[in-house]
Amino acid sequence: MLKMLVLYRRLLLGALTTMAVYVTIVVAGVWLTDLSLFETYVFATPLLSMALPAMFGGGSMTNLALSFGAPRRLCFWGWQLTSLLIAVLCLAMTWLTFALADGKMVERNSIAWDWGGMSLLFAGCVFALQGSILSQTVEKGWRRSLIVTAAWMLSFVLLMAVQVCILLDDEPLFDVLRPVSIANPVWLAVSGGFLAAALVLGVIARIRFAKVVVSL
Amino acid sequence: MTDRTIQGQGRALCAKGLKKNYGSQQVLRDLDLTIEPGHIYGLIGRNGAGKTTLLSILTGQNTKNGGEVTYGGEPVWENPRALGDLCFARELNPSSEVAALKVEEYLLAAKLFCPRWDAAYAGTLLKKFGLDTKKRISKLSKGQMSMVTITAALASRAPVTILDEPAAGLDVVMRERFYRLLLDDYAETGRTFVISTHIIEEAAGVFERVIVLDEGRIIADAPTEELVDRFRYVSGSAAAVDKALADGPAPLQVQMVGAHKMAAIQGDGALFERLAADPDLTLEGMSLQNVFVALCGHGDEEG
Repeated sequence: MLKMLVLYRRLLLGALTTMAVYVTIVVAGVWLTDLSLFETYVFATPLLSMALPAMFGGGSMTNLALSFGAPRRLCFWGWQLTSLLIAVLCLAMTWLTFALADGKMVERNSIAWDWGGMSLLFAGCVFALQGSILSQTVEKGWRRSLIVTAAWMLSFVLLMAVQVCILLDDEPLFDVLRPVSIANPVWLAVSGGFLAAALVLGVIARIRFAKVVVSL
Repeated sequence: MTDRTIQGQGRALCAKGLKKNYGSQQVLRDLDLTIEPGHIYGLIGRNGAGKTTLLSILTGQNTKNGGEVTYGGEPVWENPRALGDLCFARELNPSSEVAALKVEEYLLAAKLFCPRWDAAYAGTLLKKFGLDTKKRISKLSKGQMSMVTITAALASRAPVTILDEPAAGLDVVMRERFYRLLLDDYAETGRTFVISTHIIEEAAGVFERVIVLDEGRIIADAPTEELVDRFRYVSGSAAAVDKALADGPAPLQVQMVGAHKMAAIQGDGALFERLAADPDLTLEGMSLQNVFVALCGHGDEEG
């Protein structure tokens, strides 16, 4: 497994660097300027943390490892571990963005403020990741793009729904959806659904991975 | 450095009743093959004969529709012990995802997953080939891509090292250098090499054994000299050739120049002696390339 992490370190570093650069610019913008734009970017960080892990899929590296005799199961689990690490790092950076920008933020409405909300974000992130992993068992082309886009869009819809509920905090219609956290049974069910769907995608990916044909 | 005696006492890589289909197209048909340890094999076949498919199945990189592949009696598929002993260096495709990687990243994967990886030797080869490891594979010439795969294959020190079209894109000087490196390595380690190539004549001197694959079947598997020795060109007037071959064997390939006929035939010492004794006929030996054309040309005639 360590070998897989070494092989995927470029992806890990890539995701981490992208996120770090983003956090630095956004936090600096919030503190050093009066532009509300940077505050908007802070609120967009959860979106980035959901998109990044899926974007840093390691298809070519996996094929390469397989071509040098790495067993498929090792590649699959190595990839899962790497993706999970990227996701956790991105979520940690999201939390960090909000924490660093806190003193200057006018609005404080975001799920990134508490662990219950972050857990919701994590469910969406894991779902998008599994979609990305499954897509790598499909040959490069429109089918692969479709799977990635569909998984990411669904996670995006989840995140948007969450944000809408937070922003419309005085709308009684959404009372049942508050607090926006997994402590709320509705959101617990939604995130449970996303995790279950992620599990299904993961199982399909594992089955497909077991028969994957190496092509360089 | 590797000990020749250890590497030479390797295990055989075997395929039994191997079948592979791509949709309705049968690529490998009930194929049996044994790669004995300590030899240099040449795998030759026409385009689409199934060479790369066969090699990728032998190394567990492709699925099969029937039959079995074993290494030292153990299945190869998803078996780390077997996979660690096999290295299949494929021809790189500039438009593939892997081509976006740098040479050093490609070689890092080889280093991580080839248990006998010889980093010092890889460094020597990279220097010899003048390869820049910071360059992306897609930015390399076809010849340089071949050099990258050759480096990975040779430095893997895998007991069974398989190279798919290693000489593709290499100029004649580099091809010579590659064959010399291969022979030096073989002399030192005695490991098994399987080389698939289209440049038959040049590589013929390197192959100890030749496997000829045609339409998904192995039609010849023999020591190179022995195989070549089974074939002759018999030529003379069309009437004389036809008369001599009336009772067999059937010519594999026929060329006509006016009334002069030349036929490629397969036979044994007794047949060749009989034909050589006929004053109206001329008997000539064939090169491996000619043997290949005769075997895989399916009676193509040239006139």
